[in-house]
Amino acid sequence: MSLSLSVKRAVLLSCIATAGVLGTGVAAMAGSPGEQTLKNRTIGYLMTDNQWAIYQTAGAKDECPNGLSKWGPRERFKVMFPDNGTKHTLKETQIALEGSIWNPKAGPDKFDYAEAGGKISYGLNLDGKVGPNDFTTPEGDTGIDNQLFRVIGCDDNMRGPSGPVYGIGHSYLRNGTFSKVLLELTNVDDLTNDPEVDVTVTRGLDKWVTDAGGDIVLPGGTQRVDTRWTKKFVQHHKGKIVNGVLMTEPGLVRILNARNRTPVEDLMYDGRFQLKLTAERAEGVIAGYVDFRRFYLNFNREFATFVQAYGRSDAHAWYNKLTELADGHPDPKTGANTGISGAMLVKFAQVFIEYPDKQVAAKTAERKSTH
Amino acid sequence: MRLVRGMAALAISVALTSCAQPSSDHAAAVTPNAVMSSGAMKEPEGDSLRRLRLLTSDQYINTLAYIFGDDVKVDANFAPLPRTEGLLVVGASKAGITESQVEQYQRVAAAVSALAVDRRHRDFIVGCAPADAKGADAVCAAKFLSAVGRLLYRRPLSDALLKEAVDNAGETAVRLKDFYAGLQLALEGMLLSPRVLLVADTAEPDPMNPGRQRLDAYSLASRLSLFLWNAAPDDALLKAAESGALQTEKGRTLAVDRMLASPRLEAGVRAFFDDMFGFDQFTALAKDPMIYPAFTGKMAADAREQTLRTVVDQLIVKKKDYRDLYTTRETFLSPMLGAFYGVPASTWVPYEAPAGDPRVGLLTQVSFLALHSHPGRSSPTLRGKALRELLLCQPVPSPPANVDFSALENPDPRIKTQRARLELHRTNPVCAGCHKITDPIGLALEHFDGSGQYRETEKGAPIDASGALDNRQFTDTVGLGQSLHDSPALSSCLVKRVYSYATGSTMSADDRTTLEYLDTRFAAQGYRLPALLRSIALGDAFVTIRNVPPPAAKTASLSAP
Amino acid sequence: MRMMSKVAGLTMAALAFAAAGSCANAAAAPKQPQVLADDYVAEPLPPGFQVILTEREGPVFADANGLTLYNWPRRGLRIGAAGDYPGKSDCTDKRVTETGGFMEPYPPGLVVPNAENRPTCVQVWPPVYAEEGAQPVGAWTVITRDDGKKQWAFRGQAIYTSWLDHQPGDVLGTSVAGPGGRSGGRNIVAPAINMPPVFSVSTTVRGRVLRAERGNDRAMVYTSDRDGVNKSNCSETCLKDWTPVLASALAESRGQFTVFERVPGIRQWAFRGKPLYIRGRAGAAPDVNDEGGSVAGWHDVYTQRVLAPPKEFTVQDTLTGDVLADRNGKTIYVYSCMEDTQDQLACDYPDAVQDYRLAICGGGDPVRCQEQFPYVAAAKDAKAESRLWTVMWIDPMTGHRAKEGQTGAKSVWAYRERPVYTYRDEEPGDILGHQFGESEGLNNGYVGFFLKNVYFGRE
Repeated sequence: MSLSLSVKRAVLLSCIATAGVLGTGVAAMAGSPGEQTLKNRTIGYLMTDNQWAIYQTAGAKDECPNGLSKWGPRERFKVMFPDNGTKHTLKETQIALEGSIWNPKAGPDKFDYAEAGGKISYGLNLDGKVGPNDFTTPEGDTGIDNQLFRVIGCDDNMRGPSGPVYGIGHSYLRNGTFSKVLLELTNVDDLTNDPEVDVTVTRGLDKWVTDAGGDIVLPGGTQRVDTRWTKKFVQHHKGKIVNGVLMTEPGLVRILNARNRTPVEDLMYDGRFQLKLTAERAEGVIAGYVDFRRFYLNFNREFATFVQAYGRSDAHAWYNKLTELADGHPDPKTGANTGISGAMLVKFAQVFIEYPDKQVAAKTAERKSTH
Repeated sequence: MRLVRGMAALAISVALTSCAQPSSDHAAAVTPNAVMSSGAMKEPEGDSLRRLRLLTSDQYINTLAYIFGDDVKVDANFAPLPRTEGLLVVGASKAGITESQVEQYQRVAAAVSALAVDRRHRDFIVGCAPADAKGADAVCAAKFLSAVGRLLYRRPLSDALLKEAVDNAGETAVRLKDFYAGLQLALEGMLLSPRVLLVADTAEPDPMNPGRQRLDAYSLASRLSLFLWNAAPDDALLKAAESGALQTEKGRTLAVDRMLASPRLEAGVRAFFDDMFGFDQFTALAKDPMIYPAFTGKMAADAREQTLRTVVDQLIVKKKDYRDLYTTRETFLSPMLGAFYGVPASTWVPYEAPAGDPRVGLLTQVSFLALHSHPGRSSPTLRGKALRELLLCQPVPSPPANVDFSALENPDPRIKTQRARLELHRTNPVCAGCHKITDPIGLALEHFDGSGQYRETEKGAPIDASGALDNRQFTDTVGLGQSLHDSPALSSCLVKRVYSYATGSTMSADDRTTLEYLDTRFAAQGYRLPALLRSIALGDAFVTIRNVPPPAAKTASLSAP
Repeated sequence: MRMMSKVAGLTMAALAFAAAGSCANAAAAPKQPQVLADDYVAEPLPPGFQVILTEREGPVFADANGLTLYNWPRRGLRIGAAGDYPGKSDCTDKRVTETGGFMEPYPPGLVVPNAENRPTCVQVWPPVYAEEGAQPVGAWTVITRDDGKKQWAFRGQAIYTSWLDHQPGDVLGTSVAGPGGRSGGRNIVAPAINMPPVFSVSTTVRGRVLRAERGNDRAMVYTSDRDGVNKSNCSETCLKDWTPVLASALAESRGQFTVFERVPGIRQWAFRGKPLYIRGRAGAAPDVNDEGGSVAGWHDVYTQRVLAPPKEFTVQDTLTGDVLADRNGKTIYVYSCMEDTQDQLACDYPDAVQDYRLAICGGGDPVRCQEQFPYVAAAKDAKAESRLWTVMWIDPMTGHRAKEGQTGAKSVWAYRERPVYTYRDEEPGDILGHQFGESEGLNNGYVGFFLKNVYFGRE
């Protein structure tokens, strides 16, 4: 099966690369374009939405009984360096605070923290167990590991749709040119049930097709794969589809993004995709043990203190909580956890994926055919 | 033979006016194969009207871009012209200039003239430097104003006009102590001149044909350039006019062939088809976003571009038969159109629909389908009407004032398809007379909804896409395209439109001989557009001015500059 | 006086830059012929003033001593504004000791480091005073400062030199983080470049790059290996992806730009004889920052290029373009810093206070600083082709300059006389230290030394 498949695939890809023409018979025109998108056992998706998973109820009553974040940089500064006539120096105040953001040390924090709780959260059961700190999804799945939710769930910046960080991230995803995560499913016989499929993650180059409002991404567009700048981020995962849901095997998941003007890579250990698939869209979670130091570094690189101040996030508090609640992927030398269970809520629209470089296409085809 | 054909054509138009079924022109028509080869055809004597017309927005913009450069951005959205006998450009001869339009022209003139002489542009546009930038310099001003004037006025400035402009520039320069401010004012004045904004055909006695009038060399250059390039004549064409070469057969042939070979021909061809296909309607096109969420403003723009690209590619690049536009599977897709068609397209790509695919020819492109539909549903009537009027030059009468549309808009859920809904058109004798010349055509396109997207069913009911064009039946779009292709009215309509566009005039009985000649020649040359353009541009009628007795009333006219 | 174009190359004729050592795409770029400098528009100058050709910024105005001239136009900050209004100078000899609170969320009134010894604005940015009786010349005027002294201004903006510049050709006053980096709002004062209005030229780390207007944007401009001198061989298939930059009917060849007829009646621009194009069709959206630069046989256009950086440096592909890296492939970073004070003085060079940097790179601990953002070691007598790269002695415990032989002193590479660094990146191509610091690394932090930041370029 493997060899002829790879040959067919290489041929298919070279056709795509040259003229972008795929044969469509009359039957192919039936219904919307999406229905014919599983062609030659391949279907592609483009990520259109990506937010850290926070389960939200009206007024945050369930998950934030103590209210939302109170102690942002501005608020802390007032308490730490009151305006009482004392002349404060920059070195003991602003520079010291900024220095400790970029050189964090976990330790006791005199400001109380609005940690999220409740019983419900999004995510996956990463450790296969049902423990006292686990959540249940709204659909009733138990043992959900999402300690990251506790850290950020009551942070006003991170909650949609009006949280500033949430909003800025969404806006850059929509209007920027960098964040185009592509998922290509190959060796797919059936979008409803298939015991063995391959998933390749790459990055796209093209503007997407939206509706008249500009926010809804329509399926059927085309994305060329970036074979230059982000080629080292190409990943392969194995998975299966059960009752229309794709689930990949745990592994290192690397997701590229640029929530503001900084290109970053989020890392998840034992990460996996769980997506409800249709011929036109995919939706679900990417969950795993988020490398918390990388999460923290990315956040601060992307969002300056003045942005964090809008929603009263405080980097010091985050670092403390991330360290405290980290629950996976221990450092082999020290034993301390480097990962914190977490999830991204993601949505995709179907796209046709084109490889501009035939050589790259052929190489990728070889790898993908080896089960 | 020509006479029989001409009478058949007349019979059709008469029949349509009274909504009787048009006679079967397929049988009666004389097919091109029966005509003598083009080499043996002799061009009959012909002439055209002397016209005064307004430059269109595009012609004005193209001209300014040519003269001053693409970076001199012109925000010129002049008032729409009245569509006359199928063309806006013919309406340009009827257009008046209102006060608010004068303001618009003035705004543009002020902006362009300021930009042309500003610090960044002056060294690269003015072409000379004044002796003293704080005062007048008649020599440099004359050099610049005569160079730019020639291109704007489409002929060299007369001594009087040039002197007037130079004097204006000088006075202002002295008053404002700024040479360039003087140039700016003089240039602004030129940009507002009726001689620039209006194209006036000037006639002179034809020395080769005593008793006849011909366009003078500059008017001929303008007519050629507006026709083929949708812009004022360029430097080379003006030189040919100046030297008299343009008035010779050889010189005119050289000029026309140069223009046909140039990349600028594309602009001219696009402008013509954009006009003929009524694409100005795109600016007002809106679809119900609840029903057709994928049909955005961008989609409309891409749809327009798709058709124009297809036309240029088929007719100019590949030099194919015009009639094949309605049967070809070749087109182009943008990323948005790719999503619409369900086909990959990361950028504009050529696309060929596979055998068996219902998308054949221009009628199945999104432009035609979406333009001639309602905001929330398809319309066989509008599509049939459009085909008749735009492509066959067969006017369809408007509905009578007392039509009761409520019966048509019947919300009864048992009526699922448009065909069923239009049953009323067929059964009510008041409606049937006219609708049987439109609906059977449009019904063949019912597999495409109001946004131009393909559908297999409508509200769950299967779609019957059979139809007829005059006496020819077909079951799908392939059949429709072929019937259109085979209709002699298709090519004769194009000839009429192109000729009308070229001369800027409505057609009358006086043009019949010329049209018939062009028609026959077009057929003999394989229905190739470049050949038709060439025949017209090099034809007798294009350059010869009809003797029309002057009207009795007193009229003002532009004297020759 | 007649306006004339002039090819630069006055006092710095020796700086005829060979472009062979260009940084970007070092392996792929062909050896280019001797490159002339920008052709600038000569303007009348006050007595002694001159135009100096600089390696990176092109032609700049300079005073009688050849020192680069700068201005400081008023601009809005996050809160409030700073800089000179036209006709005035806000740069005084008053010692500013507190922050102005221009950057949120920290309040104003915080005492800055080394407040008692802090230089004044006029020390760091010496005004270019006008002599008694000086008369305006062309676009140069004389303004009266609040202290009564007379100062030269160009097009209304007061002008200064920088205390960091020492010799003609130095342009060290502005930030290293590229033109988009925070430089306290100071700009170089330079003559206009003589080019057709459809073009513009901008300074990048690689050199002065040419762009053309496309609609409301500016698109990169390219030349093709397949073209001849003032001859275009781009037709048909080529024209699907590349659009010639056309010249108007009135345009004439001038300076280094020529007009030629690509087909009868259609005229195209060429620069130094090479026909010019933009990528894509005329109406389409422009390149995402230089897609055309990756196409074989096509090249960016520079009016002048910088010379080669240290030979041991490498170029690495990253997520968003290529960066300069050390011999081991570790990304090189520059440090950028500006004080949040009314006078907007920079804090990014070794002689400035180091408290800001030490806080960011090590939480105040210089040892940690060196672990997190180590200097890039240089052999003490190493030299680069480019004058922008020098070796300096640094005391890593203070961050200030050191003398050779001083205990603990290190010889390190510096770009525009500010040391450069690497970070705890793991693999070649990593840029984890990019935008590390306050305000995305631009107010007090580190940014990668991008040769071309394709998606987030600030050029």
